Amino acid sequence: MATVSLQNIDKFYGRVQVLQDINVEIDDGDFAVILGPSGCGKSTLLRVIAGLEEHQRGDISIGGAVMNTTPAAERGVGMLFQSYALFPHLSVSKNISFGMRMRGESKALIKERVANAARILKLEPYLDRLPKNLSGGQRQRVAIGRSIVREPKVFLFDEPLSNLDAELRVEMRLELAKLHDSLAATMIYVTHDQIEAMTLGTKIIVMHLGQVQQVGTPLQVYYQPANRFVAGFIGSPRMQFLHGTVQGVTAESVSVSVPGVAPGIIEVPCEPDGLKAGDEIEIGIRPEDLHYRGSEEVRITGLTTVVEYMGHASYWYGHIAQQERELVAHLHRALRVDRGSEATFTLNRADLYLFDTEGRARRRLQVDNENLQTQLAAAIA
Amino acid sequence: MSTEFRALKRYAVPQQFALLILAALTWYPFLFLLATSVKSPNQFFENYWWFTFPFDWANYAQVWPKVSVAILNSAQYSFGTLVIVLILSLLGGYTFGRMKFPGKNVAFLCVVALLMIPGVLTLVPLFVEVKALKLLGTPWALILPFAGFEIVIGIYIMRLFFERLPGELFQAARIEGANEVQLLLFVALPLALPGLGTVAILDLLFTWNELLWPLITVGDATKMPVAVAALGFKGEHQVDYGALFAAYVSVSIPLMVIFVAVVRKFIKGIEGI
Repeated sequence: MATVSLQNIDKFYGRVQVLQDINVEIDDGDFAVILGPSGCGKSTLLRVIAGLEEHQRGDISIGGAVMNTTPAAERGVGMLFQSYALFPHLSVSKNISFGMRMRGESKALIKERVANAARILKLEPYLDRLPKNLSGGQRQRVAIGRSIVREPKVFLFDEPLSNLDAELRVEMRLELAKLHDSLAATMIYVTHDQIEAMTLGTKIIVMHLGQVQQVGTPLQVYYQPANRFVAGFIGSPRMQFLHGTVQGVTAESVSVSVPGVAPGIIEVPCEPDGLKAGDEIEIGIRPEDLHYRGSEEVRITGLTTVVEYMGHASYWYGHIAQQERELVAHLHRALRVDRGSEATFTLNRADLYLFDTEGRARRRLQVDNENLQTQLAAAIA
Repeated sequence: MSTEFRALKRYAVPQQFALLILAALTWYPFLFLLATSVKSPNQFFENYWWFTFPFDWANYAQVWPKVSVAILNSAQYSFGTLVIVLILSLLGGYTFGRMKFPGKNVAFLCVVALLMIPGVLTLVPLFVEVKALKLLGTPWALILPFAGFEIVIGIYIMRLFFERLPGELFQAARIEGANEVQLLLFVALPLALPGLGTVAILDLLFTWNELLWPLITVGDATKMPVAVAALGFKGEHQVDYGALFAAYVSVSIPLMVIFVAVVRKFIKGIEGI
């Protein structure tokens, strides 16, 4: 088990910079999830950590030892690929023991470790089968088995669930969480799926355009996003943004006016951090914070364009007067709103998010969530 | 009934008919070969186009002593060539297909450019070279030039094959601790078998049937490969078609048996390219 430290990592493909000044500390036993949209450089970063790709600048340390030029095999990492990368010509047991056989470990040790892995991963009945005769979930487990028999210091996962169907994905997600608990190993997991990130991760590294946007606990990136990108990326449906203007600031709040939103001046509890009266800003509203005909002080009225009835909930889409953008709101599943009708939503001013014109978020000050506090305390511990 | 199916049905009869004609055209030379190989000279002139009865097996008995020696010779030449071609195609294809090094594409172009040189142009320089190396009269006079010709297409096929194998398999093996030799032996080689099967078939077809080069370099009648030996039944003044065709059939059988045995791997290999 080990810590992983990335310092000032730069990587280029030719002249294109795909990783820019990456600085991340991953603690021993962390389940770190690298989250970001396609092409953000998350898989490249994982491959750089694994030693499958070279980086041009910066230091990678695993367990305190700098590994910049160490070959992949000697970094003490186990990696799970999106395609599982099982050797099609080898049986399950040969696949699992591949690394140990290549390293010339004793037959007795190989047998013991394979049996142990097969027991943990419920693969005992399949040891003599070829990968082509296994289901997606079983193949996934064989790939995990291949990693765990070598007892690596760090496990690397490259979108391991993306080839599975929805039901199996939930199942495997739980199994991975259990595996992390039982092995207490450091794991780094790449995904574009925020649900995987939120449910599995103890630490989330949000990436965009080759840069780390924010590192934090799952609820931290949800409640205290560092910028507009993170705020928009985390949460489903996405956060919506409305234009506004700063009317005044105090040490603990920023008063803003947002066209189409009442009252005319809303006092948002957040650190002003350089904002002053007259500045253009954007406020962010999460669909789940809006309450249909609620009693909170901030009110928004919009013209209903579409309502999606999902069963467990409904999503309302509509236009707000004086704003070009569409708003999305979460509706209770029993509510009915007709297309073309006006709908009024309310929300707590503490639930508003504030961003400057460069997209930097202002730290919110009245975030009241016990789970967030617990996660933060655990992260500090 | 879908429109597609109806369209298929409308064309089914003429289509089948055209295919039947094509099949007949393809198969007839083989049938002609077989029919002629079991005819006496008289039967040959009586009925030129089709089988005559009873079959006359004397042609086979006549050619077998010479043909059997030629088959053994060819087996020796082909096997020697095959071993060299398979090893070098595997190594070359793997290097070009899976490794990164400066000048790779230029080096590959240099190899592939050899495909553009007509074989006939190389006859004289090759002969001079083989003679200078004192290889004339040895099996190497055939094996080495054959291998030289065939590794080009072999490397080309194996490169395409290796490039299409998922890179993650090789990366996984590397992370698991496999060194380059282990990677080649335990990952690349087993995965490359269909591709190597394709190379082997193409190589065998070439070496088994090659006529011109052995005709020039092999002087000793007891060392002739099959193509030259079979031609030997064509006399200077008259042709004994029965014997000649019996020889052709005899020398084709080993190749056919091999092809039938590995045809599935061969097709899998072609699909993999």
